[in-house]
Amino acid sequence: MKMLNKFTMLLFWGAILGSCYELPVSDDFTFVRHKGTDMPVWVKGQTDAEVFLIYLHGGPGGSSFIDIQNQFFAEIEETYAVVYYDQRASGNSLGQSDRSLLTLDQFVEDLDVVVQFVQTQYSPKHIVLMGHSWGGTLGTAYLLDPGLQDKISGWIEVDGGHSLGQNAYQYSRDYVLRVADSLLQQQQDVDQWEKIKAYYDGLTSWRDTEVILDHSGFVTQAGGYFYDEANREGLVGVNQVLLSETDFLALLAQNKQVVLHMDVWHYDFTEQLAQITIPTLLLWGQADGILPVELAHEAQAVLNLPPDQFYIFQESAHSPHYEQTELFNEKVIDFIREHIK
Amino acid sequence: MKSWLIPLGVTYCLLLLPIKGHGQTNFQELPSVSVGIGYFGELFTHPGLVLYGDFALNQDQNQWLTRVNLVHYRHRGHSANTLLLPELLFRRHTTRQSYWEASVGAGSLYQRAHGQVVEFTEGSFSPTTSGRFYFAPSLGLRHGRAFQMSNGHALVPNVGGRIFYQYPFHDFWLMRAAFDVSLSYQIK
Repeated sequence: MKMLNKFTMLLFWGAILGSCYELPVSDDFTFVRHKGTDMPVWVKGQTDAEVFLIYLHGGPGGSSFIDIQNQFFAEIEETYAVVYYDQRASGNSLGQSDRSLLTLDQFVEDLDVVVQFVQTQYSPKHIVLMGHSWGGTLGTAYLLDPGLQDKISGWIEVDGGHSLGQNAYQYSRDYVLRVADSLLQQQQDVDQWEKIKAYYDGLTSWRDTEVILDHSGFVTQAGGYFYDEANREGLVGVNQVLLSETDFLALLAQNKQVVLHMDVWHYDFTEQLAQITIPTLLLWGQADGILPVELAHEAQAVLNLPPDQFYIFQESAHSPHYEQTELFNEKVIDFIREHIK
Repeated sequence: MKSWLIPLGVTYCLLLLPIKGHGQTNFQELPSVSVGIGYFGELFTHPGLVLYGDFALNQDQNQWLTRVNLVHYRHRGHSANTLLLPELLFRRHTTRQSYWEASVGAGSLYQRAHGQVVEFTEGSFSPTTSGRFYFAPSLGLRHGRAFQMSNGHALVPNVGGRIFYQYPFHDFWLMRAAFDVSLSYQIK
């Protein structure tokens, strides 16, 4: 009977603790519903500031909550408001949206709904978009619509996918091959790297789900996502899986679905970038292997950006906001202070 | 088909099954009935409460039962969820007091986004309180140990886990995992 008593007490205290678990959620957290999806929108920082920065997460199928929980933009939040949201069928978004809506056009429409939500709710003087990786594709596509660009005061592209087309594939493939040749010269993992090199024989594009997944794996092995592999540690911890607002099972499953079903690995907006006439900042990691730095130089040339609107992080790969957080925030704050008035 | 009709139909069948099977029309005349209450944790840490009722179909060492679960759990800053889940159970008694049981069921999950929800229609935002229904099939495993009481009934602590699915979650099957610890009162 002692065991039963202990069990009953455990149940009792479990129920008490469970009911106390509900922590206050910021008033600035809202789900925005549009065409079958509920997109979580979290506004953090100075909500009375004139400038609101809307962050477009990567993927497609990623989540901004990992950036929130790691507080990558905490210093920006000290001066401005930062708007995080999870895109359709991505991260923590909920709903029953149809697979046929997994298109770039629909994601642009959803972004405009979020922009309108921010305008309605906060009436900021300026809205700045900041897109990382796939977020760079989404932000660029949004700004190439003149009617939409008029709503935005500034654009920050971070290792972004303004091109996911042929040139991006070639630069990324060449990155992997350069690493392979270097390691083969050093006689490291010879079989593995010879197989990887052979994989690219006759391959001309990454517009295929299996190819993009294989290639992404090779970029990982070549160190193209993290300048220092040790930086990978701690990006997603037990807290993110079990104790945070993140629905980690949904995040993983949604990411897979979006990767499998979104046909995006052919968009190339490089030649159209000149149509973006608002102040623009390009931030890139020198060691990026999936969207290599050559893409940044191409964009800089088309946009004709002055030196203070273009910066290469020497000790970063695909995510300088993670690998060189302090310097990254400094560059963003300087840009907004100088160019968004 | 409305997904909430499925658990109602399955519940009706599972409740009818023990009654028909024993030619009884009164729960008190069935071999055993139990009711339980417990902690339900989706991914362990998203807290909830489970209420359930069991109806035994036989009294053998290998026992068949039906169960209806009503679960409510919350994921902070994410969603509030209510699950109505009828199940069929196979229970194997390992001793006179202990048993393991495996369950299979199909229910309905109602999920509502947490906090403020606004819907964008025709150029404006309006608050909404509605959530969505999902089809939720489930597989579970549970261990229990009965403590006999002087009146012949029994108190049974249970510990178990399950996986269940949420469909259509953005057009695909989303797997979820849950742990529960509960106390049931078994009426002979």
